[in-house]
Amino acid sequence: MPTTPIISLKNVTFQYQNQSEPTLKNIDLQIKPGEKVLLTGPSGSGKSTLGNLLNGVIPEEFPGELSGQLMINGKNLAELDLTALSFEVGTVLQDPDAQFVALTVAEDIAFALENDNRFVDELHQRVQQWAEILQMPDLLQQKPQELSGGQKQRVALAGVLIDDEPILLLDEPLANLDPAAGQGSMELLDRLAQERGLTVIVIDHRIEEALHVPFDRIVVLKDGQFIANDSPTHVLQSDVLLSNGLREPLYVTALKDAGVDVSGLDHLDKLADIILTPDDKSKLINWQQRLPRVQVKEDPVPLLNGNGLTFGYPGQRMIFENFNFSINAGEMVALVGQNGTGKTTLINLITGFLQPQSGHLTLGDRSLDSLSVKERAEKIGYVLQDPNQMISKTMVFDEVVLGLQLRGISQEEQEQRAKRILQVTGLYPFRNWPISALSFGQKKRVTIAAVLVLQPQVLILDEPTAGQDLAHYAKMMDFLRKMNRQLDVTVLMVTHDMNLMMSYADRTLVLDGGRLLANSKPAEVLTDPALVQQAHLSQLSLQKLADKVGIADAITFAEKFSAYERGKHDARRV
Amino acid sequence: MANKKGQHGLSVQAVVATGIGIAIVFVLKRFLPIPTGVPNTTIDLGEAFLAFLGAIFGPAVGGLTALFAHVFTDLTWGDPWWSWIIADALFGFVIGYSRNFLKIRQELLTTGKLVKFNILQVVANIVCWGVVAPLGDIWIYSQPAGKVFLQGIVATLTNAIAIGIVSTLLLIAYNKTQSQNKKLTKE
Amino acid sequence: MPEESEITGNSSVERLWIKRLSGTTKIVILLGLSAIGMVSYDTFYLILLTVFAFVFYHAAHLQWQKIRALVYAVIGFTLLNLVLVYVFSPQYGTEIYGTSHVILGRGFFALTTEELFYLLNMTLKYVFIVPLILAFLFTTDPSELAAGMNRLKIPYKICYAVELSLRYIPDFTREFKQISLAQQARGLEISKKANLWQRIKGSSQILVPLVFSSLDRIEVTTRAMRLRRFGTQKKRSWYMTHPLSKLDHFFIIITIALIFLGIWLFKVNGGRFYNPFV
Repeated sequence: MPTTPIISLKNVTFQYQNQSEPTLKNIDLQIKPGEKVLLTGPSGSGKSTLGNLLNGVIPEEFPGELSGQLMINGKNLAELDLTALSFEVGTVLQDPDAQFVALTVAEDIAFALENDNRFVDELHQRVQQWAEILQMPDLLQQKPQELSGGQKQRVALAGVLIDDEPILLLDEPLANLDPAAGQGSMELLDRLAQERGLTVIVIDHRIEEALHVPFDRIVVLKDGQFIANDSPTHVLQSDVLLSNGLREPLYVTALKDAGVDVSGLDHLDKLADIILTPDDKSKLINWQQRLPRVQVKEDPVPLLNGNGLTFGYPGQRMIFENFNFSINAGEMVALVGQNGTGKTTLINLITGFLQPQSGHLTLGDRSLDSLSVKERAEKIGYVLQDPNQMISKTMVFDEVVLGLQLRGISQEEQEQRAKRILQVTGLYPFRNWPISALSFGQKKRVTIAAVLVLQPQVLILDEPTAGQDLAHYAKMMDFLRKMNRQLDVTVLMVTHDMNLMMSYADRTLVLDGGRLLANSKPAEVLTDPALVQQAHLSQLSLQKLADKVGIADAITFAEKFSAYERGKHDARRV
Repeated sequence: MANKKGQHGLSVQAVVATGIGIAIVFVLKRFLPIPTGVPNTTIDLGEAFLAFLGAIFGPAVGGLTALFAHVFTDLTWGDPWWSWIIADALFGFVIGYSRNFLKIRQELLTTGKLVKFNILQVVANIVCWGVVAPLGDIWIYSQPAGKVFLQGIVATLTNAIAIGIVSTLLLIAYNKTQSQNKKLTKE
Repeated sequence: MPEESEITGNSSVERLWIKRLSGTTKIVILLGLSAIGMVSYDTFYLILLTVFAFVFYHAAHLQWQKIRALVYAVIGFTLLNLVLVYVFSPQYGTEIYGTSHVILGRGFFALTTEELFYLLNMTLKYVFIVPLILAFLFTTDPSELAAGMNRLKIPYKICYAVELSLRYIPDFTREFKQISLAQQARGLEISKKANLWQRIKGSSQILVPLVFSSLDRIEVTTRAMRLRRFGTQKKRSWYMTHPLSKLDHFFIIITIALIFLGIWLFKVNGGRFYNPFV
């Protein structure tokens, strides 16, 4: 006799009030108690909507038309409003800053119980208990601003688990974490689920990172319908992920493209458990040998140099002491390292937002030291992670031209330059659109265009692909590569995405505790285990695959594969 | 708005709008005052944001935000000046009533509504800064009339200008984002 | 300019008695005394309040360099205020106290002892409140504020709005600076070089991103709080609640006594002013 599902959706359809067609169409889904489900899908597929339906935010906060049958833990939708549902489903939101609503960790963990008006003694006792379960008793008095991304996530987990809901729903838990913290988070989740028999639903499009721990099922949504609902191995054996703009684990792509018959491989979701035949191995080895070698740029010329930079906030520990770095002309450079290690500070020093206590910055043979923020921006453009923090006009054209207007450039030249940038950035057709009508990726492009219009030699981007699925990610990165090549702009990207770094960066700067651990090719960084560990990075699964198969030169393999992957995106678009 | 059963007093959204509103008004009052050229008087963009917030979320949010933002700002300067705090709270409360005719979350903005908003803000400014605050100074603090009315008139003028320009611009910008949502179709 | 940590209160000195005072007590003292202090013009009474305030100031062990800038600013502001009062109403003291002892000059701007005495009383109002506020600002755990307000029967939703604002002030300060710099990079001129109109227009370039991202924040935070059942009950408990100690009761009683004394003095003086001139 199979157990009754803890979540059961029958023929569920939902349409937002303002939209012309349903976002979820005739969804059927049964989840058994204790199951771990990865819910994924490209942007706009309806996966967040489905999540909001499960925790009651829909229909209460987003009005719309809902039909079909929804049962959660034996109760019907009719008896479940948002409040009642919150006892069944604990939700961790994507943005840990929004989730954190109190002044200190302890108060935030206690928040739900405070709202239930429980006794103060009970609050203290339960908070203490959860702080121990999540190994953070010494964090209790900390403020949200003092925590790392991984710590915030642990607080968020404690804050929803404190009233013992049977179901845990996590919206993009990997979005804001460095690779090591992401792995730590998934392991913690796995442990909690096992110890407490939780039913876990993870909504994320970072499939490889999520599969760091075992899932029972992957559910793939597209256009509001399920296109896959099966065990991870079966889903990975099919082509459903790649063909719908989602990234599959790199080793799976490599196996498939090498001609290995993955339908015969069990445990495809866990590389360590896959058993490859000698035949499979030789296929891989032969295939990788045939991949074209990557051309390396010769004779790099340093463009942006920092010499002897020293900086610290008053009354605090120094962040940089006698720090040196250089970035070569025409390269795309990734700046990596764990949260709070000085990446943002370094960027702020380069852009002139902060002034070093000593040391010098030069661009080519010109000193930047005496240039103001405004003057530097004409040489070094900086794009913030959140486009909403940059956009100050309502129309696309006005936003792009703003920097020129403020510099008193002639009307004629303004239009000419804006037009060229709008064309290069592919925004020309939207030039008279209100920015609010654009997608997140398009908005980001507007902010990049608004910076590029000043014709900087260096473009700095903070997490250029944050929150974008594979299709949008590839678009954005190809776009940046095009800018890099066509406009001859040197690009510096701050990122946590190892894939992005491997596929698109010519060089990687690894920062840790205010020191430069490495300034080398991405593949060299990722194949150095000590470096990977110290800087909170993670190895690509490709390297593990190389080890497994016996490919000696993992660096070259990783490089060739990345170039090959990039080529595939290009081919798909043509 | 999404508040129905099980709610007592303010809606959750009103609580959050107030909390975030206080923080933003505080930050703006502190870091973005624009000197007018008249000594010791600044254009206070905190008030402009306050009027915008009130126009969206109503009198309760407007009044409470103004009250606490003003108290916090005064506290960091070492001295709460209660007559002006009361005047500010009253202003936030009154301007919040513009929500009822602007209906900016449900309907499109019209020039007529913007004119009404600006008439209300000018009247509210005159009443609060030109009358209530100086009278408070006289009655509560026993300050001489000449000085406090001059301060009141200056505050009335600068706030009316700040709100007339900046709040109006914000409302127009907000309207554009709202009207977009109305005809959303999938790309 | 004071650092942002002030509003969120930070002091390295632990376990001072003033730190152990509950948030409720501090609110009562501050509100009670500032209310009676703003109405009263009894010199001796104001001096008494000043002495009382300095008890707290002393207990807080404040570092001078931390509060220096703030104190100078308050002094500057106070002086300006005094000058303004004198310029507008040099005879206001005479009006109040009913006599005129000219020290200097003549006519409208004649400086009288009465005016000086009035200005002295006005100054005392600052002298007592500023140290009190400084002491509390640096020794109060902001987390206690909301719980303390709620104990005074202020509806918990209002208290929580205050808690939220304290939680977000550091975030928005950082965001504001970031946006401001990003807009300066684009060419925004916010220095004195620009004229008034340009500066208002320019500042909206900072306001728009800040305001619209904050509206998004309101929506998401509302959802986050509703998902954890905020606002579903008539009452709410607070992790940071502490029962009032003997010390708390002691200071609350003293505060109430001081307020009654102030009111009684109105009767004795036949009004708010202590008049040494008759």
